Amino acid sequence: MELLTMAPRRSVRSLRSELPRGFCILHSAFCILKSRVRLLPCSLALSLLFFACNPNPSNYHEQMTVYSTLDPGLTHQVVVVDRTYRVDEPALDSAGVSGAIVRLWRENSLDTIAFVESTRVGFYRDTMPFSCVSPCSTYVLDVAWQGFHGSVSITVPDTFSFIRPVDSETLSVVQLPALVWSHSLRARQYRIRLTAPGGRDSLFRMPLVTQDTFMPVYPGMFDTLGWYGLHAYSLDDHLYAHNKPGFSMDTIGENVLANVGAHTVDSIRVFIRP
Amino acid sequence: MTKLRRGRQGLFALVALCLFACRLPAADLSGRVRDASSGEALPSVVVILEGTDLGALTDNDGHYLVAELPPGAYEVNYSALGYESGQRDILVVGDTAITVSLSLVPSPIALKEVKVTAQRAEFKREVKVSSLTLSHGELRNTPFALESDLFRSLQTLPGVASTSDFSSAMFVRGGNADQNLILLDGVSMYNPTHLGGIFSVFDPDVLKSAELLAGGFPAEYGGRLSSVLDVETRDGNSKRYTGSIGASLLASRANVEGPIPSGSFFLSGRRTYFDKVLDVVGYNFPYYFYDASGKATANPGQNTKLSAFGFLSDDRFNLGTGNNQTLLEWGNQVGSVLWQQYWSARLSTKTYLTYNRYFYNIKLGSAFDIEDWIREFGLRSKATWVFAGENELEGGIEAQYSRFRYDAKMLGGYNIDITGDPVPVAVFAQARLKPSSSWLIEPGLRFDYYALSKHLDTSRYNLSPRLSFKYFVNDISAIKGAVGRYHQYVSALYPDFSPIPFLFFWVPLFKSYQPQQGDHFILGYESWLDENTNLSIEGYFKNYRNILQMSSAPKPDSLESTLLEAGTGYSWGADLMLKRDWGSLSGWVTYSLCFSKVRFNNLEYAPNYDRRHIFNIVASYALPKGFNLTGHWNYGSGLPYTSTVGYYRRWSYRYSRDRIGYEWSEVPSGKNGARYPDYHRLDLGVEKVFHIGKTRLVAQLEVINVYNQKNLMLYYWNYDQTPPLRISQNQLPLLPSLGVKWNF
Repeated sequence: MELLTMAPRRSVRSLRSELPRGFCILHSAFCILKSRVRLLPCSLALSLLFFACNPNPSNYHEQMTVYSTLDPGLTHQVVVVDRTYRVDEPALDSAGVSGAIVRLWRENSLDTIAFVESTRVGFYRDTMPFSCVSPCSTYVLDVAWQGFHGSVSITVPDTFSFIRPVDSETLSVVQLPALVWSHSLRARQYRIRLTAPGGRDSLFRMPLVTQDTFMPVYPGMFDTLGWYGLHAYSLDDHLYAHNKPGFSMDTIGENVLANVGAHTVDSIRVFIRP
Repeated sequence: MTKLRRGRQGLFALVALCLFACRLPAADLSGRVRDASSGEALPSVVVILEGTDLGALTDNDGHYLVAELPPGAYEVNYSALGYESGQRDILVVGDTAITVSLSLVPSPIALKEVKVTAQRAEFKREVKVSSLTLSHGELRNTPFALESDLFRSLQTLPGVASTSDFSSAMFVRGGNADQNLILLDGVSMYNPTHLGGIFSVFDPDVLKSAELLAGGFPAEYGGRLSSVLDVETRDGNSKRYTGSIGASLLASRANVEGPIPSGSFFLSGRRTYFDKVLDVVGYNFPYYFYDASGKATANPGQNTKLSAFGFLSDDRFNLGTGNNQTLLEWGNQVGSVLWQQYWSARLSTKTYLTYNRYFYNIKLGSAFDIEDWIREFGLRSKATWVFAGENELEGGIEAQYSRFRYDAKMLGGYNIDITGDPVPVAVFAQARLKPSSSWLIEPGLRFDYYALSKHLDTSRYNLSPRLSFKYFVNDISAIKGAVGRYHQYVSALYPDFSPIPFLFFWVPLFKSYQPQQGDHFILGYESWLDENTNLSIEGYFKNYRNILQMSSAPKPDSLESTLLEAGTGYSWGADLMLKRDWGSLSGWVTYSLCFSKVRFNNLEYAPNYDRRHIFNIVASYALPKGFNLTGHWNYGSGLPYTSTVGYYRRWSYRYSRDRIGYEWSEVPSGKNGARYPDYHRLDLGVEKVFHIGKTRLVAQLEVINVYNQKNLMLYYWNYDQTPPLRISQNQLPLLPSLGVKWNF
């Protein structure tokens, strides 16, 4: 059984001779601490000052940004070219930058579609009299501006259509069928937009997304009775990735950020009755 | 030559055996020390046999054992802080074991020598690597913000970092907040917090002690990588009925305790009232929390203790109904039954049967509905055998049947449903050996088995060896160290960029995820600089494998297998604690140095809880006339964050509006490549005790952030102007707080 009361203290000198060398060094350090307890706060304060300096490095460098969503249902495709700004730099009033060279071509094709700058600075459009992109085709979008250059391959999903309900169908709010549509080749995800009678904006800010070709609807979705618009979008791999939470922009070249992709759309309208 | 040596060895062994067989008869002296006024078992009581070098220190249950006492007459002296010393005469005849129950009378005068002696005794008896214990008094004397809080007190200890005034989550020695095992009377708790994490659910009034094992913890503990917080509630008063009521700016509380046949009980509860108060003035803020606990303890025999403990807590914010309802609710329902039996002076068992239900619901109309709950039934049993003087051998088992459910439904078809019935079982053995007066060694081994009943392929077996030691350089100094391997089978889901850890959603290990694994290496030195001053310094290195965090980009088509991402990490550093007690003035100074790095997706970075330096000064000064002053100053170097170095228009197709549009987006720096400014804060408190008849009225005034330091929590940007404006979101400003408590 060990003695629990305090034993008489022995001098450090007498103890040293019994100890291994490593212990002596450690113990000596503590003896210095013991005899210089007042130095402890000073030492700590100095070490705090020394170690606590954490530089906040600013590693900003300018980047070009590119946006486009190819849609075969549109007559003209749009590409927006812009740039980043240093956090303490005022941004330009325009939507983007001018002077960019924007080109689009079908993969393995020599025909290049040139885009021209529109009246809105930063917006570039093709000049074809009809839609220059087709479903189920792969295109290369190439953008250059002031030394930046980016290139990306985009595959347009196939067209598709609603199977149920059909356009102009009347539905009972108490007996709503699930929305069903045909499969779109190359589609990674579907998004549904529901618009109120006479409106264009979606009834819900939350996205209605699915990877199936059906989606249940609930009576609570319809506030009033009347004509509602149902719009389904089939998204390609790029747009699917961009719409995920926490998405960061694609890098399509050195210092080139992009949010590009393609979708196809089908829209119908239905009448909701009691 | 070899034969001769073998012959000598055999002779020595024979002589030793004869000496052992023919040794003089010796008896064991054991018993329990209790508070004479309340009957509560007293820990850390020094029991000394006057005129000898024999003695003992009571454990947390008030039990002591002086082994192998030669026949004769002895004077037993026993003493504890806050009590008058006691003395008993005993007579030892032959080798008959003696059981002596002792009691101590509370003394209003603090005797500092007693505390120092108890601490010295513990220093000599226990290895205690990285172990920090806060007593009931120390828990109550730490300044608080609105409500006294266990976690806030623990954040004053070395190695413990916090990231925000608005969170009581602890990051121990570079480990994440979900790597701490929190035990309340043997029950593992997942989210014991109120107000979204600002306060813990533990009411300091009902706690006996809280021991934080910041690393290198022994084999009896498992299931977490970083630390163990072992919280024990006190027993009720077994002599008379007493109680107290109290109020602070936030909540009111009450407790009552008293005797029952062969034992005692206590009931305690508190509830916030600002929902009621605001309702009176016409403002609707339907949020409240409450917690309640109760305990009944019985001692049907001198060697048996039975207790039943129950605890409830609930936080609820409920606004609106139907599709407009916003509901946030979480809580804990905990129960445990303890059977403690001393089969002899040297053999005892401690068995817990536990139940825990944790739940969290969040519902935002019909758009968002997440339900998360955990239900666990557990058995935790340990046997302790004391042999050959102060050597101890312990063995035990832990078994649980759990059910986890994480069910998230979001409008539009984002659904996550993770249901699992994990069955973790562990057996362990550990020993405390004293091969000589200079060494204490604690080896241990833990075997864990883990399986999900619905995913049997998830079965895992793991061995976790542990070893700690203490080498006494002399009577006042010791070198100590520990190594060990640790495993973890549950994870909290929250994004790693969150400035406040969000310990609400827990998932068990499932699918192909591997158990999180860590190794601890600790080496330290402890010394008494003078009669009243204890200095402890420890260096450590920890590495982690398979640590799990919420994935930054889970895939909707394979949510379960992409919900978490696995990484590695390490941390190293040193903790220093200088603790001094002059009697009326006491306190401690701590300094922690920590370097922590994690690696996910091939990117290594400092996690957002990597506080490089932490400095704490805690003091308590008892003045005459019932005044008590408390103070706490905390300094922490800046936390890492991902800063914004640029911005751009992020154009996208707005499906909700059928047109393209943009929002401003930021160009980030490297992951956690910058640090916020340093943090520091001074809190002061004063307490005055009024004696009114036989009752006590305690009035408290606390001032948080006395010099109104604008400690930063985060930056955000206002892009409505160009260039964008950086806005600072600060933490708690200067905040006075009042409280009053009446003990009757």
